[in-house]
Amino acid sequence: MANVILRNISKSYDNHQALRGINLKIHDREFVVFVGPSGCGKSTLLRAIAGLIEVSEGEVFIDDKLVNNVAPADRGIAMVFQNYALFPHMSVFDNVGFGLKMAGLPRTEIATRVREAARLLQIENLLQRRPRELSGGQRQRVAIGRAIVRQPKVFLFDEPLSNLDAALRVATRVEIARLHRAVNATAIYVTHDQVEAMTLASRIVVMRDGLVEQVGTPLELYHNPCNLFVASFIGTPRMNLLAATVVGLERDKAIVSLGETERLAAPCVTDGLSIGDAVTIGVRPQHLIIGSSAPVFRAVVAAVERLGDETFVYADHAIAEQVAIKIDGEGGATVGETVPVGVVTGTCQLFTAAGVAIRRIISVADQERISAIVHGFKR
Amino acid sequence: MILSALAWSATAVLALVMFFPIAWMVITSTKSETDAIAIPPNLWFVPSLAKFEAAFIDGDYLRFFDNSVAIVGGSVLIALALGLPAAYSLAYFPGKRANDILLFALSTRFMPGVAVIVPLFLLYSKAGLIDTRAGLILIDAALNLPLVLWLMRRFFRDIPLEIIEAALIECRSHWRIFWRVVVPLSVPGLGATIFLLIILTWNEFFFAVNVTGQSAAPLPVYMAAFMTTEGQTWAQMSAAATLATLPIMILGWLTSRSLVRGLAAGASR
Repeated sequence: MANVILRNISKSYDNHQALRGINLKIHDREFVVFVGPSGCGKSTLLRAIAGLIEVSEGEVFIDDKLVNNVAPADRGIAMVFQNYALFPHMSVFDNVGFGLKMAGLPRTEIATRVREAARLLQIENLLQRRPRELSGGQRQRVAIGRAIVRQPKVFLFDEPLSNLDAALRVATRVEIARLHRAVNATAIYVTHDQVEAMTLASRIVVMRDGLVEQVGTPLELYHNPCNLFVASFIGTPRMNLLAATVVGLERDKAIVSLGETERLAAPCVTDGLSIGDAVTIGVRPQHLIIGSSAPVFRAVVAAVERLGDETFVYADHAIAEQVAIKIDGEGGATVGETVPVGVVTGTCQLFTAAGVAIRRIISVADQERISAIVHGFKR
Repeated sequence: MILSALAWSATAVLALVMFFPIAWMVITSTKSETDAIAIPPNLWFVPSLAKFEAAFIDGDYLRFFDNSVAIVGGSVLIALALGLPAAYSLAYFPGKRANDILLFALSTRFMPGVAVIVPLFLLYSKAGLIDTRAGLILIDAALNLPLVLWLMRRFFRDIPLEIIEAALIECRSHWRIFWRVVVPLSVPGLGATIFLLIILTWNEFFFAVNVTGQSAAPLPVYMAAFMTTEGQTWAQMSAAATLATLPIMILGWLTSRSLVRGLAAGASR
């Protein structure tokens, strides 16, 4: 198993800078997910690690060895592709064992390793079939099997679940997590789906326009996004972002105004803030309370989504921004109803006009209270 | 339904127009010389294979046939041996000059033979390649190479890039990837390309008639020999032409399905 170090990685094409000075260290056995919108450079970065594309600048280290000039097959990596990339003219057995055969391993060892991988992935009965005879989920298992048999130092996944239907995606996601624990290897996973990132990763790398926006554990990114982009990218539904103005500053607290009379107190480090500054308030849907006795603003319900164990209410704020409110259970509101909306104290995140997060201050007591309110409140 | 009938009718007319010269050639080859040149054409005649016998035995058909097979085989093999690896490289690792290379290769096909035949003849004379199979093989290989580059690069690019990337991760040898992954997945296109090369090389006349003589002349030259100072013996010439085109027609008939599949595979992606 091995670590991966990326030092000042840049990649440029004719008119386009795909990667800009990426510095990253992925520890041994870690499951790191590169996440970001389409075109952010995550797949380019993955291919640079794999050696499938040459970097314009920078160095790639795998297991502390510089691999810039090392062929992909010699880097100790294995890759699972979005479109499976199985060889259509070979059987499943030959697909899985292809790399071992090319490495010159004896037939008996190839057979042993292939059958072991097939057992792990529950595809023993598919070994003699061709890829065209398999379903999407089966093909993806074969692709994973082809990666596992090589016993690589690093596993690379390039959006492996994108071509699967929703139910299969969830099942395969669980399977990948289980396999990662079983093989206990370093893994780098690329996806545009932040739910996959949140559920699989030990650490997430959020990317945009060829740059790394933030690196952290899923909950670090969720609770302490460093900027507006990360805040709105992580979390489903996305964080509510409301334009506001600083109208008061106290020790460890900023008072912001959402409109004429709506006020909100946000515990944060106030250094660098001035009265009159334009800021953005970020509040997670589960931290908004419909029918609060101390409402911060009023909103008109535009849509209600009842999912059984939870309900999402989408309401138009008087300042023409739509907010999403999450309610446990089947509570909610009626479309067209005007509802008072409160905010759980200490849960909102402030961002400067430039979109940079202002550090929150949360006391231990507040943390416990927030947790109790969010999980215990029902309308 | 009317459209379908119209399409079928148009196809039948087109097929008739294209096949008519072949059919007329075969019919003429079974006539006597008198019947062959009769105007209006004589449709009621006693068919005979005498002209075939004359073409085959007196014309020494088999010698020219052997030369054609050797020249076609040799030139196609050389063009494939050089062109396939180049097409692989141009398809997957093109570099900045790839388009320039392809355009240059194609431009050699624009070159009229008459522009180069004199210096080529002089070169071949010095090199002892006049009237040799090897000499014509080299020329035909050079003519075939651009086609291999263009066609096979196109067929290789039809293979999804991720399959090649997966192969690169599994195997460090480009040669093995080429033989074990790329070529098997390109068989329909490769078959279509080979057949096209065979047709073009089999029918190549200009360089063949200029650089070969008694020893190495292929079948197109054999047919030209029937144009004598005493005039053209149409029936005899038709028989010779039928014998000369028969192998290609049989090959085309046997491989027509694969050929269409190979060409269609490239067109549909």
